[in-house]
Amino acid sequence: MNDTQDIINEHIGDSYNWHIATIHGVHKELHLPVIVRGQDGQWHMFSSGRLAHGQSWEGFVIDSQGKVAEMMPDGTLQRPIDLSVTKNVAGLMMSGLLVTMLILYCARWYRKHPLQAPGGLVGAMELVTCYIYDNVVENIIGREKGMRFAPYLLTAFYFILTCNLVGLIPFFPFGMNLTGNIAVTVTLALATFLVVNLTATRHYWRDILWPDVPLLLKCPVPLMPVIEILGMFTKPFSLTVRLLANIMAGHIIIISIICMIFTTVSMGSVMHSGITAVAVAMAIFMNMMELMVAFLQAFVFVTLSASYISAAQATGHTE
Amino acid sequence: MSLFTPDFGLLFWMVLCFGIVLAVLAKWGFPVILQAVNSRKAFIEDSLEQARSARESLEQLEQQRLATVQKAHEESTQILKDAQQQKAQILAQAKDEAQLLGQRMMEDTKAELNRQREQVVKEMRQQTIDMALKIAAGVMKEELKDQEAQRKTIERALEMND
Repeated sequence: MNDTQDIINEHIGDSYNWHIATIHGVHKELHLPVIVRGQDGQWHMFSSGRLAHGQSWEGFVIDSQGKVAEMMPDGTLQRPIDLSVTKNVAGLMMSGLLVTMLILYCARWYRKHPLQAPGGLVGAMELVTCYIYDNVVENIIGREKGMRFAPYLLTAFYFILTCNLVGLIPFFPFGMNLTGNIAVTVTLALATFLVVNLTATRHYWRDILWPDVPLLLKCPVPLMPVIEILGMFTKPFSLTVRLLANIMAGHIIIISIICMIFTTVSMGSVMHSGITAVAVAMAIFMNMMELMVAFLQAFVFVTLSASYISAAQATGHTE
Repeated sequence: MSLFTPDFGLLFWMVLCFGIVLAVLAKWGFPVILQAVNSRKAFIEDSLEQARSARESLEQLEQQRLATVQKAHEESTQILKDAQQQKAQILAQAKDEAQLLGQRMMEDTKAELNRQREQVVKEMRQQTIDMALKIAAGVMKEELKDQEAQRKTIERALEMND
């Protein structure tokens, strides 16, 4: 049982190695670079293979939580500033590169073929891009202001979608749990938070700090302003948790279903084969589900971001 | 729970990655695509509008053509009708004139005939007078010789005159 939990944790967590496959009990894995700044203020960079099997290198070891730690002279372990290119970082770089290349390829196509309609890959991308632009950006923010926010929203959409899909492909070089990691989702939500609040109108700030409510609700005790300011932060928080929980839950469910096959080996061949059949069917179903969730959550994220942006663009005259 | 505490290293790389992707795509990616799509949309709408107006003007031209043809047709019918009328008129006139001419000719002929007859009558009278004078002279001559012979002479003269 503990074993299963370890497998799940390893699967949805991060790692200094990029596990490719285990063949005859031998882990085939890519050792990614460890980049740490020790207590002496020096930066160290070395392959994570140096730390395998509890070895230490340049005074660094892997601690009980699977993190790189520095061995101090007094024998205690100290966490260094860790900028290692972990499995998730490598995945992020790959996804980012993939998205960038894909979009730039499309942009180049449009530059080379003015006033023409694309087909194939570029056509499919246009379908998605225009769907998001028409239904999210223009529909929620409006035509004249939409052009200003479209690049951010579309980038966020494609980035999240790619990360989601990368997480669904189980084999090397994919399969890392990117949008199911809080560091990723919190960054995305923070980006929306910054876009919302840095472009906000005066009217939006007045609605937060001095809203149109009876004076008692804001004068001696600034009840409404406090609630409104809280609301500023609950929005990105909800964005963070929604994406994180959806993707992580999907990963956990799928890996758990797969693990069922291996934990039931000892129950006899009839039971085992029965559960295997059920598990495979359920895993297929969940993968389909996650495929939909991958698109849905990317869409939900930008839709909510767009509505937050739209709220912060209020001028008060349009009401 | 480490699952819900963001890892600093990953956070750093994520900010960097997403920042770069956003910067690149916001500059060279999506604005290009959206502008291309928008200008293409405008171009298509323009073309449609042009096609519509072209079709409308074409229809107008067609209507004009039809109207012109109709007018020409009416004119030709009118001309034909006029020609028919003129023909009938000319024919009638010619007939009248011919009648008139015939009448006049007839009258002329009649007058000529009358004139000739009168001349013949005049000549006959002259001759008759001459003959009567001759006969009278003969008779006068015979009377002087023989009554019987006179009678015979007159008879002979009358016979000759028949």
